[in-house]
Amino acid sequence: MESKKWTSCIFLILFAAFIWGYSLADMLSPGREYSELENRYLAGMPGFTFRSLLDNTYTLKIEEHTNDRFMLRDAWITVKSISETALLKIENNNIIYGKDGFMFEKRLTYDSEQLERNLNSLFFFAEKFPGNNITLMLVPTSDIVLADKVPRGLHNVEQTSIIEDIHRKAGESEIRSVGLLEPLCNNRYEKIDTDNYKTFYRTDHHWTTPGAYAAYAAYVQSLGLASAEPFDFPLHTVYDFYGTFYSKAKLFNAKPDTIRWFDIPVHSVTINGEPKDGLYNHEKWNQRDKYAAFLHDNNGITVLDSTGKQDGENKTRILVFKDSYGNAFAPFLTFNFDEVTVIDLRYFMEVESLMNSGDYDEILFLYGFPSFSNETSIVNLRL
Amino acid sequence: MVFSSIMFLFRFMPVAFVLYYLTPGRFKNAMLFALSLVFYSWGEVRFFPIMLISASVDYFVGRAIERNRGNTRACNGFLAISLTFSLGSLLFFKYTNFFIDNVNLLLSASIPNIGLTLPLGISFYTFQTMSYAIDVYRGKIKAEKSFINFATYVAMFPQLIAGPIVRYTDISREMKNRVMNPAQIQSGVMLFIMGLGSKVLIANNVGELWTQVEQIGFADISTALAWLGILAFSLQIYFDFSGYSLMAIGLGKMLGFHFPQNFHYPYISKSATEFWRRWHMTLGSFFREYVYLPLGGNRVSKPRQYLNIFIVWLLTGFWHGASWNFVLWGLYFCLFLCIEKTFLLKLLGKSKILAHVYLLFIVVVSWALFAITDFSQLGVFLSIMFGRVGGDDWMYYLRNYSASLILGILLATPLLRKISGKLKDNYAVQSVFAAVVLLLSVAYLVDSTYNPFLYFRF
Repeated sequence: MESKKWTSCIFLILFAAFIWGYSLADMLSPGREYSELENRYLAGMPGFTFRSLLDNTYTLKIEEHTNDRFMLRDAWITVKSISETALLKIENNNIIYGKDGFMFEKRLTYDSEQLERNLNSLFFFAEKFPGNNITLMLVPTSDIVLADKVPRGLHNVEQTSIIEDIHRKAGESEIRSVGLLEPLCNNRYEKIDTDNYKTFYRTDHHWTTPGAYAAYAAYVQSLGLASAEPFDFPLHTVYDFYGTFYSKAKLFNAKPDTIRWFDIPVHSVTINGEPKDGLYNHEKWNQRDKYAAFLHDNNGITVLDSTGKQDGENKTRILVFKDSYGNAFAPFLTFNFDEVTVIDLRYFMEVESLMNSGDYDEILFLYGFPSFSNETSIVNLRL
Repeated sequence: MVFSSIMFLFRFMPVAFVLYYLTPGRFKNAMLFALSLVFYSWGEVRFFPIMLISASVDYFVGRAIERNRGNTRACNGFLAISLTFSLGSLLFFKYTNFFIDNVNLLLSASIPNIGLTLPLGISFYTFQTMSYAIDVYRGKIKAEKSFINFATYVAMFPQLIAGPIVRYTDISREMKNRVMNPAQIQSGVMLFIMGLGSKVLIANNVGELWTQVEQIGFADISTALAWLGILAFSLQIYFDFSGYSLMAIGLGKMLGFHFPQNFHYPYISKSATEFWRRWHMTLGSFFREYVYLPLGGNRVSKPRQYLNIFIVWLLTGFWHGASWNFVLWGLYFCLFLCIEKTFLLKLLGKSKILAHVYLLFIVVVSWALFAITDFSQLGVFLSIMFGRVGGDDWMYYLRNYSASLILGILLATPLLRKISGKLKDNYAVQSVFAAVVLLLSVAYLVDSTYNPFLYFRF
């Protein structure tokens, strides 16, 4: 009789043990500040203020903290990912799983007002510093370029026509533009190894080194210059790259990417006035955020000196305004220009003194469509 | 705090239940009251005094009515105070801006809105306190002598925020004397887990589809996607709300209370009349008990009967939100209930299949009226639903959500209960099933990219 009673409540006993045991262990466990899996800092304990208590943000932040630091968070995330796969889901956290392991960002809308503001900032710049050769290149996202990998029926923002419209408007303001859709779609290096020589990564929003090269070739050819053949240079391979899409989707069986980089000889690399050792931050190849190796990640002003020519020696110079797409791209420009100055407007606000201090043969604006339509730092051109 | 959160499951619940179980019998209510205040204040610290005032008013009104039993005029007066206060605070917090907007529209005036947020759960607890005052007035129950007992009834955390609307008659006995034994607590835990699963695993999963349809914009979707979207919303609102009710009922049982059932497989109904006996049952019975029957119910002349139905559904619609689309939604059901009452019910009795198809059709369409607050947007959506707009957008969403939708549809029927009833070793299977649902729910909460709660705004 006694034992029958005990077994009839075994579920309750296990439930209580699980809830109380796990809660206690979770409260006692130290918790971590950074998640490798998600590539982000986890929410910390909020500071208490009466104001935050009264507008309910204090308790909300505590909940966020509890969620983020929950014991074995990564394991729970994996359980969800497996369950979602069992439910045949092909999407998590706004990331879509396409064919052959390619992931894409879901982008149903875009900020047309911010895009207009950014374009106007560009026109303002062109008028303020007349007489420059300015080119605009917008990088479409991977779902446009690799459209055959996107699940049928998903209609992301129609970037092609929006970009064409921007090119037309740019032309009216005497700004050249180079369309990248065609060069990125007809990638000649894809033949080497279909899977790893695509122009975009599977698990990251950036373009691959072959993608950046295709854009480079299209750009310099449009200037009437010959594009270099970097495949003659030593090519290095870094395996197991899990990019930003993966960090959001956390798909348990995602296929990692392979990163390629060329050993391009340069005379010197200077970032924010400090000399750096080469084009790449080699430490990053071993870390999670591998794309950050290119050009030592995003920095205010980066100067690549290709030849070490002195100012008097008829030096060719190019100025590039870019987002992170530019990091894999800019190294190729050292083949055609003696000096490449790379500006990231998120971290650089002295456009006027920069423009007054030197002449540039070419000025290039290179932005991914997402940042050109969302980024608020492009207005720094007006400074 | 919502039940479906890591905070509730792994912080509030373990602490609250330890304190509650360890507290000796006669202090249990006071402990439950204190825990409920913490629970309420966690989500809305500014508004817990309003709930306390609301509870106090009806506590004193109940006592005053009891003491002045013989004096009808005094009793009427006290009841009037209670109703004025309950309805007054509900009208003030929930509907002031709505009235201002409509006055502005009518008179082309520009009276500014007042900066108010809706106090959490006010639509539910005002109904509970009101039902108490009326029941005391009618002599159906004795007024509660202990303020703590009464305040505990109003504030009790399982049902405070989103029902079920528990009447004092339902739990007055358990308020003073309740049994708590492992078997009952265990069945409470199981119900809670099933509710959690309904909310986290089904409602959130399919609900995302409707949210995405809204994001695309109704003007840009195909007819197929419009139907897929509203089907997803139909499942979301059912599993969201019934899941929350089930969690409340389960927690109630763990505390020693028996709350009334709130949902009983509404989507298997064969008429709108039946649907409303199975959907949000405590709200339906509230309106029946305190509005429809006092108006004379169906013991009055035919035209008066229809008027009564009209009044009840006008109020039901309006209760769901301070917006005309909810009124339209209520009147839409009023229309079908009246048609059924006149002749359709007899006709529906002839074919089961036809009756199911009819009911599902009108209910799914009703959710469009419910979900879309803006009338011009509603017009666009309905015209696409009933038009012929092509496109392949539905293919992506069908592929991504088909398994979730099918699971939702199956679980909206009594299938699972039937299977579990036929099993030999029912307990072992139920336990394993509940454990899996719990673990999966926790996993989905940890990586929650989408976890809204539809009934928070009510």
